[in-house]
Amino acid sequence: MKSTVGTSAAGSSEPRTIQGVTKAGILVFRKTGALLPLFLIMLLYFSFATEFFFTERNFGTVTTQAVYFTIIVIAQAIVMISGGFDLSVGSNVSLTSIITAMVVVTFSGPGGILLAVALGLLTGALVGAANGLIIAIFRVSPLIVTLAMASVVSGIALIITGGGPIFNLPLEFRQALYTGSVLGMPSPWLVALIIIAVAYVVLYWHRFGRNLYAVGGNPQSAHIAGVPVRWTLFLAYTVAGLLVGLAAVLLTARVGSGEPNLGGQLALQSIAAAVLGGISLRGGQGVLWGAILGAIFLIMLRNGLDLSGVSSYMQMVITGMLLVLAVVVDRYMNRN
Amino acid sequence: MTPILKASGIQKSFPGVVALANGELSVNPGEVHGLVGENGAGKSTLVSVICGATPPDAGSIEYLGEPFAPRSPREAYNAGIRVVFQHLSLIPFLTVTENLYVGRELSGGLGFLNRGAMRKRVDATLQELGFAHIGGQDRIIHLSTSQRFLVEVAKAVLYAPKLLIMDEPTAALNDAETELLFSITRKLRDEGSGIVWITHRLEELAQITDRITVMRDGAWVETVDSADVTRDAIISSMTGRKITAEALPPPLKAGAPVYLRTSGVSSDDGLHDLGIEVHSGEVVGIGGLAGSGIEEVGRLLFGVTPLRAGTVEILGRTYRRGQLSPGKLSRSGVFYLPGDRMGEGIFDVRPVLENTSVSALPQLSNFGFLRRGEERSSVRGFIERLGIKTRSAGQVIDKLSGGNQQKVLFARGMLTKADVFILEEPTQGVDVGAKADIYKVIHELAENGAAVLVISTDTRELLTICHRLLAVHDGRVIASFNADEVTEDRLVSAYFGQIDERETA
Repeated sequence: MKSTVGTSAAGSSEPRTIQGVTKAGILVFRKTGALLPLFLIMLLYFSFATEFFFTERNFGTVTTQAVYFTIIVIAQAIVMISGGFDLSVGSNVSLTSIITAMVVVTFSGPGGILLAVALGLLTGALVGAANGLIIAIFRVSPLIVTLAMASVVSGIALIITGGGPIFNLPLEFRQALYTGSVLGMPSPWLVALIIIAVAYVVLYWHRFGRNLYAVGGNPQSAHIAGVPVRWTLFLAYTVAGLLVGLAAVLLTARVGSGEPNLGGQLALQSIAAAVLGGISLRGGQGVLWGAILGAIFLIMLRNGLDLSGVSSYMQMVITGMLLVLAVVVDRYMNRN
Repeated sequence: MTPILKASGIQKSFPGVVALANGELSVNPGEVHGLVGENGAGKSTLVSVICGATPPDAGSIEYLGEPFAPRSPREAYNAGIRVVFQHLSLIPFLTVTENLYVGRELSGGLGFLNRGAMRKRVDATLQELGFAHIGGQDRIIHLSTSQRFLVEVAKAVLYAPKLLIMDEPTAALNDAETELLFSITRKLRDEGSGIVWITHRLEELAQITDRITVMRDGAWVETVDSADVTRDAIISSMTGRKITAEALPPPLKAGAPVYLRTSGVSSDDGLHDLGIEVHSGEVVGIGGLAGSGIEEVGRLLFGVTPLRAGTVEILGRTYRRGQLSPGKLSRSGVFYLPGDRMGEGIFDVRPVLENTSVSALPQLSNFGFLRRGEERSSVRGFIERLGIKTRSAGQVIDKLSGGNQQKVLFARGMLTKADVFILEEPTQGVDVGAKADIYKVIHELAENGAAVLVISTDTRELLTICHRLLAVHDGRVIASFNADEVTEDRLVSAYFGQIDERETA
């Protein structure tokens, strides 16, 4: 931008800085909707309302909680960018947790742990692939497919365990994937950082990412531009399933048992986080860091509400309302 | 005698396009009034203004002697104006009766439907019209296209209209049904209704109309008595004088190889035995009236809709039924510009950069990893070369004008270094300046050795930019011309199915 001719140097620089900041603010607001203002309000509120919120120890707690959720939100974001969403992420977490726990209990030693991780990831990816296959081949609504898949997968998890958790996981499993650390960094943190880096490269430096945005932006245009629409959709759901599987394996190590209800409200929560982070429900829009920010926001909110003694039932109400708010803002921001 | 309708000086512009510069139409009671003109002559816009769907920028309408300015189709409907469009407005899963009364159901005091009365009225109307083969309780999905159209007619005449406008009413009808529609029309006329009959079938004009209004380039040309006029005279006044070409295509090189050849190509939707040959460096145009089947050619050749029969030879490779697909073709040097820019061309929420490079990503990546620097600089190169007006390569394409969006799509094809360009309505919804730019780009493509096939309903466009022209009538190529040897009149006559022996393709 060229500066306007004739304005004095003293007079022009300050307003332009303000203008620049405002512009940057608008850009961030466009990309992530109502998230940033909400973030500020939340941080302000909790810093006054609770003593414990801004402490180093709480920071560690929040980060650890955020790790699992962030991976799942990234998975959800990938699917949402392709123009769909995945309601089966929660059930997928449950089933993967069961499978992983069963394997690690059955086969001891490092080999057993490796096998458990591998089969856990495979379970997650297979559930995603099943979603992707049906959605890509028959071009049916992801809403119904993944909702039905959630029922099927939850059912299988409950059948396998008879409804109860699987206990007595070996300590080494927990050590490797939860309490352990590499170069002073807790292993789950490290895994999350790697996933974020890989997701960034795949979304913005790889053809797959471009195709994903194209398919989500306008599937018909994508088809005519020569983009392999079906293959891209299939991959999106499969990769998302794999990421969900990874999060589930890490979560299983953290809770120390295979839980048929581990997934809980994750489907709704992950969609809420992604939409809050500016991933549009209509596909083809939104950026990775928005999704990550959305995930961190929801985790911090939950943590703050916990510290303030708000019941988990009330938190469900708040999450639901936030999703509605985010969807409305998304609609409003992208209106022509 | 007071005319039923008298529209004068109607003007309407859309961003970048003057759709209607001077719309005039006067319809008397007891008259069938033909309305003719080429595609884009402004007929649809004029009708749209009269039926309240489009507010005019200027001009006045008198209806039954009173000033009339409908603000909605409903207002025009309530005043007694009915329009039967080509595209059907029926709800497929409802019955004929339900469709005829949709939105204006007869009901008792408490809002309960009076089904009996509606059924009786519909049955009586169908009988009176002679639609014996349609029952009031039939569901629309079970009816054929022509039956559906007759239901539209029934819907329009259910309560005697004062003014009935029919857009290409016989397009989907067979001979018997056409006769039936003629007799219904005559009966309405004799009862004092005014009827506007829009058609591309000029032979109908003598059969059914009393007067004819001709439009060209959004303006009224003349209104004549049907008895006093020949078909050739109508065609002449529809096309006007041939405007000299401002953009001449580059000279053809002798012995250039054929890049695109089709033989015996047919589709499921009415294209028959299509034979096209386009050489390297050549611009070939395919023209015809809307509905002639030309809108299908591009989709068919690019594998968007399935081939029923025939072979397509592109750049030395032969494709048969089931072997054409957009992915395969775009990887082997073919670019297709779809006619529906918003629906099938651009990604409206994505930036210009991604919109441009989407088809060339295989060439711009190693093992799938993008060479983003190269991508950005080549896209910027095209933005400059084609004069695309955008703030930056990162600008969301939605913010660009239609002409600039279209240029982005051209850049998309050029970036893939395609050798065959199939361009469908390349300047649709594009303002005049951008149009000239696009013609220049098309000629540049040919000059650099590409084979270009232009599919367009714009006659002048084809005459201006092509070497050779194929006229399609009723799904078949019925004539082929050298662009410098044909007048617009002859070309348009061919569109209407009128050809000399020596022009036969």
